[in-house]
Amino acid sequence: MELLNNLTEAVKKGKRKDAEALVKQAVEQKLEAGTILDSLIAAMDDIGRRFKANEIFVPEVLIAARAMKTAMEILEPVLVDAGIKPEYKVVIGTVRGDLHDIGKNLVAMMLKGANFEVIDLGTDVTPEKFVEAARDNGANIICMSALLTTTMPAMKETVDCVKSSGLKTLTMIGGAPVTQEYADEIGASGYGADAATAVEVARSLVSA
Amino acid sequence: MPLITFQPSGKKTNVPAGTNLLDACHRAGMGVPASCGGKGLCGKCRVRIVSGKVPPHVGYEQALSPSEAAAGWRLACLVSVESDLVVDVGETSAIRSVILTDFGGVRPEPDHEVKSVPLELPKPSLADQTCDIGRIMRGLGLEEYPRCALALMQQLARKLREHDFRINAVLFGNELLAVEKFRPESRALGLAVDIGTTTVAGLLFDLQSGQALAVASRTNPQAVHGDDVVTRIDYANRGDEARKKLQGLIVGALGEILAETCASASAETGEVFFIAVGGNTTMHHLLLGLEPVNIAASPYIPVAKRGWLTRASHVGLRAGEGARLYTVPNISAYVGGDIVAGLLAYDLHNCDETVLLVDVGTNGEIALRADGATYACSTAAGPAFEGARISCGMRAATGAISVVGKRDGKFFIETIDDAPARGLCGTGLLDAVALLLDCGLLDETGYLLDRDEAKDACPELAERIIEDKTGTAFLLAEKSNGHPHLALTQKDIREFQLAKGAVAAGVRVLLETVGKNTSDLTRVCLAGGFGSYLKPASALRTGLLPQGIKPGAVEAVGNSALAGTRLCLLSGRMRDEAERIAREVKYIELSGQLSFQEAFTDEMEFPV
Ligand code: B1M
Repeated sequence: MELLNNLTEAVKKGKRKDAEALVKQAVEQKLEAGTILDSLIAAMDDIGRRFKANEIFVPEVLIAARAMKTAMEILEPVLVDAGIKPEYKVVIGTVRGDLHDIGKNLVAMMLKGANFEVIDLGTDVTPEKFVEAARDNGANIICMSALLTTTMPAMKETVDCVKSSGLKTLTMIGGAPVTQEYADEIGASGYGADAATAVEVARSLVSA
Repeated sequence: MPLITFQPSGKKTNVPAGTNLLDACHRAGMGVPASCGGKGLCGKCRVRIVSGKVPPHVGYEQALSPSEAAAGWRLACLVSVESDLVVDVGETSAIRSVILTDFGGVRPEPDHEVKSVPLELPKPSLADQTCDIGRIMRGLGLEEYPRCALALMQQLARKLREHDFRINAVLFGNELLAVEKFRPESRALGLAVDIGTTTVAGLLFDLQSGQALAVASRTNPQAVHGDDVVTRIDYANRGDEARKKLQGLIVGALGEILAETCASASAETGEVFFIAVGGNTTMHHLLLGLEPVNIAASPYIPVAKRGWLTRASHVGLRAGEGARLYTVPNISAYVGGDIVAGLLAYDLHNCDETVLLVDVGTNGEIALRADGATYACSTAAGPAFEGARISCGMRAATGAISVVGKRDGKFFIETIDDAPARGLCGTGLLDAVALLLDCGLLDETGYLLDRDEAKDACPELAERIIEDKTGTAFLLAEKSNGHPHLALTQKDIREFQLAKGAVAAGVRVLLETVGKNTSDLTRVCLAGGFGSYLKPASALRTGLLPQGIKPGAVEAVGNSALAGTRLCLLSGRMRDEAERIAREVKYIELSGQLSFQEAFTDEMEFPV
């Protein structure tokens, strides 16, 4: 479908105004809300794939995500009316003592782009706050980001805190100094090397 | 105990079974680098197992290809030594690091606070029963006793008589530091040291004349426990012993520098009575043995910021008797005495122009002087300019590609010491990216054209575009005797974008804070080794310095940290001035600042 293809392209290129106009048209033409959503998800999937392959970089992803956000703001009420809502919920944040949030924001955007409901707790998030937010919101996954070797231990504390709280919430970790081995060592459910992988891992965690 | 033979030096060493190979290399004095602190991530500690059995290698995937592993390459940090081994560590020992010890700026005016005064004292008699210290007081023409540590007082009677009342009194202000054998020509010497995260440089001075006598430098031996300050703090956090080890390493390096400079000035280390040290806040803490743990995470609290005066012997440094150790004051957890020293050295703190001082190390520290006030921030650029996280990156040392360009339409490189190319250092990286941008092989988003696209954009260089194991790459140097080819990969360019974006964004945020533009800057002083050797045109072309800065405004100021530290060594007034700078500079915290994030996102791209 021409219109939806154009919408996908507009988001991929980060053309916010075009994306806005196209999604409005699609809504006016009474296209199925779910199909419109799919065309947006397709755009973010492509962005994620090319980001992972280093073809595009952080600024392009942020620009695309901004276009996605604008389009979603228009689409959201339509989705609500159609009774379509994200199936899964995550809480995300940068761990205690750590204020780096660009990577965390990218992961959050890509998860939103993959139709997860994302509750962003910001930076410097304590283990208790993660657990509390996960409980209050009934989240499926707690997503933690750390960029400092010295704040990585806060991930372990959070994982431990989830376990002792009795919650069954899954945990996913990531950030430049974090590795799969570290995730295994501290007993996190998953590890994402980059924002696109984080989406794949989140998808497989909730469907397992 | 297994025996390890290191090639090419042939050095042998026995280690207990189960020893980590990287540790074994370091204990044997092999300068194998380990940027990530031995976590199997950076790949810089690669060595080749020539013979002997090593247990199966796990966890190397991030840093070694399977074919390299099959050829015997291992990451030393992941190998546990179980039996005899022959290990090729490469020619690391023959490699000279480029360490900057040049500078200009304010000329020192020694105030002779530390001096060695020859005294021929009249001997006591029944007619002159003046006490021992009173006799020295009188010899010095003082009205009061000089201050004197009890330990020295306890030895005074013996020392005076041993030397037959012909002595040299070493003074620091009105304190008696030592009583020495009479030497009419005797000098009091001092050492100024810049402790960088990567390199340490020292200058020996005659405190009387203010003349520099000798210079020596080392790579910071703590680097084996990580390239950046946070990795080092992380190591120090393992416990008291680890912290003491880091302290011991840096004190050891200071001792070596002291010995080397004294030897080349035909002096004795015992003549050195004052040692002034400038460095970033973490280096300062590790030298003094302070716990650096709270520097690392928010809200970044150092133990102490003011300048500190203690005895060299208290950190285990042996110099002249009673020698003092002074540390230049820090501004914050991430803006240290090195920046204070830099401001001091060029008197930037008192100037009326709009001036920027940029020291691009792993942490890009930036200070701005504008409208009669001084501001500073730190931008966490990362170690890309020092070679880490760049696939073929290395420090500025023998064999590093330091210049990249095009001459008469032909691609060329220059290496340090004209040695065969072994890797790419910061200045070479900067040039390479500038060249790729100029040739249109790299677009403003940082995308590296593939071979086909390159043929249209720049036919002369298109054949240097190759497909590496990680994707598209630009060939810098062909394969040569045993060394793999050197190429700049798309991923390397992404790392470069993060690093340069952080520096440029830091500059922009500082300027915005005071309502200035890049075009308002009359001087941009680039400090440190990288800053002094880089080509300003490349810095502007790649956007390491944000757009709008006038090319003529950019100047290299050399090792300004060392320059300022030596001013503190030679004059108490300068130490007071350093204190005032540290107190008055307004520190701008970038963490959690939205304006930084916006600027960073912009500055990751390249100027068109
Ligand atoms: C839940 O599942 C998942 C899954 C995947 C996940 C995930 C979660 N989270 C991330 N991912 C993954 O997906 C993302 C996209 O693919 C990726 O996210 P990343 O975050 O890795 O990547 C981002 C998209 C881009 N990368 C970044 O944004 C980080 C870039 C660099 C330059 C950096 C920046 C920008 C900053 N910094 Co900071 N900073 C550095 C960085 C050096 C470098 N060259 O990389 C680094 C991380 N910093 C460091 C330091 C030391 C610091 N920084 C600090 C401050 C800052 C700024 C404020 C200046 C700024 C942060 C701005 C912000 N709002 O985030 C300080 C501390 C702040 C704090 N408490 O957090 C300070 C302590 C010191 C200082 N000078 O101020 C170093 C850490 C060293 C270490 N060994 O830990 C550092 C590597 C630079 C260095 N070597 O010196 C993946 O990791």
